[in-house]
Amino acid sequence: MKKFAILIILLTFSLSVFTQKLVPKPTPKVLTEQEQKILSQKFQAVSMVTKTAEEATFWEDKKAAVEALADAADLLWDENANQSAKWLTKGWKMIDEVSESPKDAKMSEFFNRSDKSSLQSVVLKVAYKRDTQLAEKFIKELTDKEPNEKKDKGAFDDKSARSEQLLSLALQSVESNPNLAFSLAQRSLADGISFNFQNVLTELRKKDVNLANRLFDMALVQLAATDEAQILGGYLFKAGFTFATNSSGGMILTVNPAQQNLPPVAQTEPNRAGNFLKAAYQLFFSRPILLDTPEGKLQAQSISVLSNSIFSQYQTYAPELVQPVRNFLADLQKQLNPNGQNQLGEKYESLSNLSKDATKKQMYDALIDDLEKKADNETNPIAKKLAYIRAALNTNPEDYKRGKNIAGKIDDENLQEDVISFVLYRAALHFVSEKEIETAEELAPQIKETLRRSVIKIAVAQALLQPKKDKKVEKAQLDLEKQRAYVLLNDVQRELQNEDVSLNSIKTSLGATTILAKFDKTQALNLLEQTVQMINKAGKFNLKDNAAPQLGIDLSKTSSATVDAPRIGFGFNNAVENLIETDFEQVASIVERLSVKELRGIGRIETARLFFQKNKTLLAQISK
Amino acid sequence: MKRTHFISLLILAFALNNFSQVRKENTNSSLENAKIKITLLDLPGTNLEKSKWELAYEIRIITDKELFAAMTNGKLDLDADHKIGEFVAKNSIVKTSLANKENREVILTIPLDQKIRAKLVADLENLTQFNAVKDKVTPELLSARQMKTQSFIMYGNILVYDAKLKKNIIVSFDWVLPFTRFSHLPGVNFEMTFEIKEDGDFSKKVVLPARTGNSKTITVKQ
Repeated sequence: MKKFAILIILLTFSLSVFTQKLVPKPTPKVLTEQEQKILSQKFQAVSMVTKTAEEATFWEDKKAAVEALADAADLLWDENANQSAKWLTKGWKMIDEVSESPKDAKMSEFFNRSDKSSLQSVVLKVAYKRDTQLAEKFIKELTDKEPNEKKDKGAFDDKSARSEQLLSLALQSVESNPNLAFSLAQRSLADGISFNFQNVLTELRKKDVNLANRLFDMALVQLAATDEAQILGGYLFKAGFTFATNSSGGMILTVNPAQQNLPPVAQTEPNRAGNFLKAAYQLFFSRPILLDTPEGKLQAQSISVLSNSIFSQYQTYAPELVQPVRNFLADLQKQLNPNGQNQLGEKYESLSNLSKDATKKQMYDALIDDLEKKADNETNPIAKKLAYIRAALNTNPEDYKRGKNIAGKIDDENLQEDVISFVLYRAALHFVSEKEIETAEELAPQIKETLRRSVIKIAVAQALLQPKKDKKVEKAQLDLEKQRAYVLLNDVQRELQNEDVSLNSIKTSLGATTILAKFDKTQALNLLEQTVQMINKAGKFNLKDNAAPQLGIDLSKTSSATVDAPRIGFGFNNAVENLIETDFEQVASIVERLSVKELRGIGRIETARLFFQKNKTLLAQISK
Repeated sequence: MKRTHFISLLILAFALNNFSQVRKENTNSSLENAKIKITLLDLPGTNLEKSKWELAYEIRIITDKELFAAMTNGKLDLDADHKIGEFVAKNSIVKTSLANKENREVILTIPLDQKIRAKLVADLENLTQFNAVKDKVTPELLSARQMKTQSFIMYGNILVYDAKLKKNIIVSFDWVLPFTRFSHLPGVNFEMTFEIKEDGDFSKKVVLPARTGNSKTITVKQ
């Protein structure tokens, strides 16, 4: 009986095997040489990411570790979701070990964002993209852990840690999923109207006007404070601009350049604008204010700042309230400034003597004259130098000769050289952006400071290599321009070898690599290797920072913001981007030479990320 | 009558007691001048020839009342158009060869004219009187004392060129130096120190002598 059973089983098995043989199997596709190469590179990329994620948990730099774990999880989620979720959860827990102090104490009056909150955004972004339930779990933990109101808030900080993360996620998802962005922003209103709410509203409106209107209406219902009114007012009347009051009652402003040229929402939503202005009147411009305490004074100043930014809108959208608001504001100004006088006349003689129909050019000339005179008359020697710097910086970039003349009056060799070099640098970048390449090239040798001169050469090289709109340009001319670009970049490489290593010199070197990689990959790899040595010497560098070098004047923090920075990308990613497809192994090998383990790990992940991005289509085809 | 006389005597005794204290301070030669020691403790390019520092300052006198009003109005700043208080002195100094420690130190001697000395004496007198009754102090007394309190205010900039960092660094300050701490440090009345760090950041510190005992240090880090 037992034998019979075994026989039946064997028969069944052999039949089954036979049947399988009868079904024609799809012929496995023979991979091409290129596909085999890509597949092998993919294994290398996956291994680079996995190795980094495993090492990251032991890094001393917890910030870098969290970023690496989140990036690794995102990159390999499709390969191994379980492992990626574990990395992400590990990263989320590790955030507790990161400092909560503001990133930049000097900016704490404006923004008080800590590394901790930025890392929460990084992890939540991946979680929302890959596993919504996991993301909701993280948000809940955050709400349970953090107090509702943020302490030591900067003027442009969000209301709470929760609202900060919800709005950050909303901004990230608005492009791909406006409904999700709406829902996240709506949830943020539980803690009040936060600074980033304005950004979300503006971005949401680009995708879905109705959703943006609904969100605005919800916010208007709970409008309670002047800072909240500034956010809704900015959205309605001046996209990208938000005004606020600093701790001493002065007006401060933040601008989002990506939104500043959008048409005012109020033009297409006059009723909403009217409703907002009425609400602002009832809440802020119709109630008596007592100025006998510092708090009362600060509140009065913030109302004054709000009124200055929205008063002109009453004429168009709520004309019936113009007079009452005007009366209220006149009283408020009298209280705030009992000895009110025109200070412009004292400080700016030429400017205040101009006729009302003066041209823009006349106003500019008068302003510079006044600033220069003020510097001439200053008796304090340091204040005098600062006043000349201020006057020189206020000249227009193309008016560099005037700026240079003013800077020439600075009675300090180092300072004078720094300011003149900066004025020429700013002018040369302006001329590059205006396609006046020859003028920029003429100015470059006059710039004594190496890094500024190098950035000009990189910008000129980039301009020379731009595809020409005029297709009739002869090949000989194109070759000549390529040759000029090569010479310029070669100069940069040589000069950087003699320069002290700094954050800016590393960025400049990466910028030169980015341009060089477009037409001479061997030389670009060579420069990349030189840059890695510079990074090793510096011991620290943010491989993810693509911003242009900050080459402003030492004594003017805002000077670098007045520069028309070249749109090149001065980060590691930019430098490597044009090398990945052709020289993946070499780049991976150069990255291994980064001596700081955290930097090496981040370098690996960034290289792998670019590999996956560049070969997305091919990898999808192979996996099919 | 007897009672009134007794109180008058008490007041006279109290005043004489305090007057003698103030007179003692007044005869002290330190009252003829205010001495402020400023030290650049360290900078990365100390030993490099091109490194240098420059100090430009202005000293004024203000009452606490003015100071409070300026602080709440946001007017306490280094802008020449906003400077508050009564002018006392201003000057500037440039020092090079910083490897030599002496060139990283400067003692400012600010001559105090009769008017300022009288203010100083009046403030010290007022403090002594206040201290005598401080166990029975009322909010009104405290407020009156605060309104009479006077201070030096020192506006200034230190401009450093560090040849190692190849960088110009400016350190601005507006320090309030209370009259009441004026005569408690031997040799100098107030002391300030500055330091430039390897990354180009800086620290600044003013050392205010305590009323009694050890000096109290207030550190301001930017």
